[in-house]
Amino acid sequence: MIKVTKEVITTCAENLLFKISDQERDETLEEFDAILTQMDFLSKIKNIDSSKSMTFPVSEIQYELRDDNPVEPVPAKVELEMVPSKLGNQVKIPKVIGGE
Amino acid sequence: MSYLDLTIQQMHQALVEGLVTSEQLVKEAILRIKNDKTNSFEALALDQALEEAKKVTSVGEEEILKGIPFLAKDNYSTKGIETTASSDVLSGYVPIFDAEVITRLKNAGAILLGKTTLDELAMGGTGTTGHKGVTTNPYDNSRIIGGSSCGSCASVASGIVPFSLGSDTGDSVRKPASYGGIYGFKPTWGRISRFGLFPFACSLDTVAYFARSVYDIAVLTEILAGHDDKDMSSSYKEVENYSSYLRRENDKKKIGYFKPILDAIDDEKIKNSYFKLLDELKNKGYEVNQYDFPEELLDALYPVYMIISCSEATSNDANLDGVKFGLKPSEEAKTWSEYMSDARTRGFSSLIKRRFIIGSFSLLAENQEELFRRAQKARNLIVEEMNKFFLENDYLILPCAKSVPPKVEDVTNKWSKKPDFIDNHLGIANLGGFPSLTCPLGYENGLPYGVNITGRQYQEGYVLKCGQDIEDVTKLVNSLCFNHKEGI
Repeated sequence: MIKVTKEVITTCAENLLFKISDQERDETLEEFDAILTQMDFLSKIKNIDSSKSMTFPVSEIQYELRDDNPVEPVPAKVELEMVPSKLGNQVKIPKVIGGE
Repeated sequence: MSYLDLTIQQMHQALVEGLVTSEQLVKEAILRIKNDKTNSFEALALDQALEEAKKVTSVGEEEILKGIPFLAKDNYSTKGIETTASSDVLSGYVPIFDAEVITRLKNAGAILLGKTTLDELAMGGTGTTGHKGVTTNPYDNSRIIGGSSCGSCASVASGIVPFSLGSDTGDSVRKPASYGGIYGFKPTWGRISRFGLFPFACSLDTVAYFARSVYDIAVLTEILAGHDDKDMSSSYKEVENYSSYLRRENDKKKIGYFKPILDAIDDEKIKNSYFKLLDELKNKGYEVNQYDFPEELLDALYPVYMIISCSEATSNDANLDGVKFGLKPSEEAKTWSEYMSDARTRGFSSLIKRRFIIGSFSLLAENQEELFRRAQKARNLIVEEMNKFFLENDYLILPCAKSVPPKVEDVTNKWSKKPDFIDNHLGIANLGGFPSLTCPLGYENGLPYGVNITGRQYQEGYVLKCGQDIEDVTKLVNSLCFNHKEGI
């Protein structure tokens, strides 16, 4: 496992697309100390390494192709009433593709 | 006495008999919202609610929810009503559709008054971390009501509505229900559609709700449960007539408890009430057994829950980027990454950022096996042990918390280094997807505390029946902050 350092925390924040202040980074580092101590409790569990991983609590999830029935879409007029910005009969979203 | 202080069942009867109108109920609820001191509300739709109420001119015997006001936690999509999950990152977001449970309640005639506060993005257990500040306990405004479904709990406990929607990922309805002296229920994972519920941790999230009696909880479950094509995790199992269980003889009467959890409770009043309840249940023919749940698995509850929930949340909330909905970032952002980073930096609180970093770290390729996968393996062992427990017992019954609601200044949202199963044992029901009900049990210096029942998957009817037997002992129906009874 990677050692938790200020740099690792900063990298995780960058991967998550947000910035953290020095104080937030220090608090996170402090919290990791508690987290990893807590995770050490798991090493006391017998047979943990040979156990299966549980993703969902219910095993019998059924996947069925539903009937392809047409549904009534939300009318454009209603949608446009709820958006913060519009242009004509279209939703106006910010231009976010820049110079990268 | 106001008709708004009644249960759904009693309020419905008053509506059927014409003793009160839906308009009168909604007007009274609006008055109470305006005088509320608990900081329980996000966006409200009061004018719309009043218009809907005016349309209700008669209520039939079978129309149990028709004309009855309710509130919903602000992590359910509500068409035309701003929905923020109490996070700045979603400020200004107005959904264009209703969550499936909102649709079902509206179709049943219930009237939505608006939205309630929560811990930001439902990622907290104290009711202190939403973007509108602390939501307090109506019994004592210097104390917490718990979270994350804080506003929904406070508004039922303070008499504003007879029921409200919350959501439960770790204990987010069942712990607050204990602190608010009301009933709180999460059914089996997948029993109710989550379409339109903002995901926090998909493998744990459950639609859940507060009410003032077990019967009301049963009726709500009948209306809300059932498969929904829009949620592939919703079950195809038949929806039962849960309320019919409540007055018939219970053929499952084996109760188990875990001694280490009781040993960790110092509050003698809570322990005495609990043991008195067990004695009363024995008088009703229940058998009570101590079960030796391995302590190392109890110690694992908190880290397993936190690692799994933070990891799933990191992925689920990646869409909160300021582009599709919510907070609009600075005009100065030049590139898409600057744009999203600005929205997410300003939109998330420090607590949420810490949780995401923990999740991200746990999911790094170098760490995944040792943290995330290890937590999933421990989860499997905890659930396997619970399934062994259910071979010998029908219900796990335990006090919900170690104390009455604590003072706001005494709670922390930081991780502890010590094992803390007493504050986290309700999470067992989320790890295993089990149905779980909190019932009010008693009062200490005028502050409420509750007891929790957890049963086998899809045995909602039996859990509610056991809850009904507990309600018959405590007599705590319609016990609100201004007229509460004694309990045991």
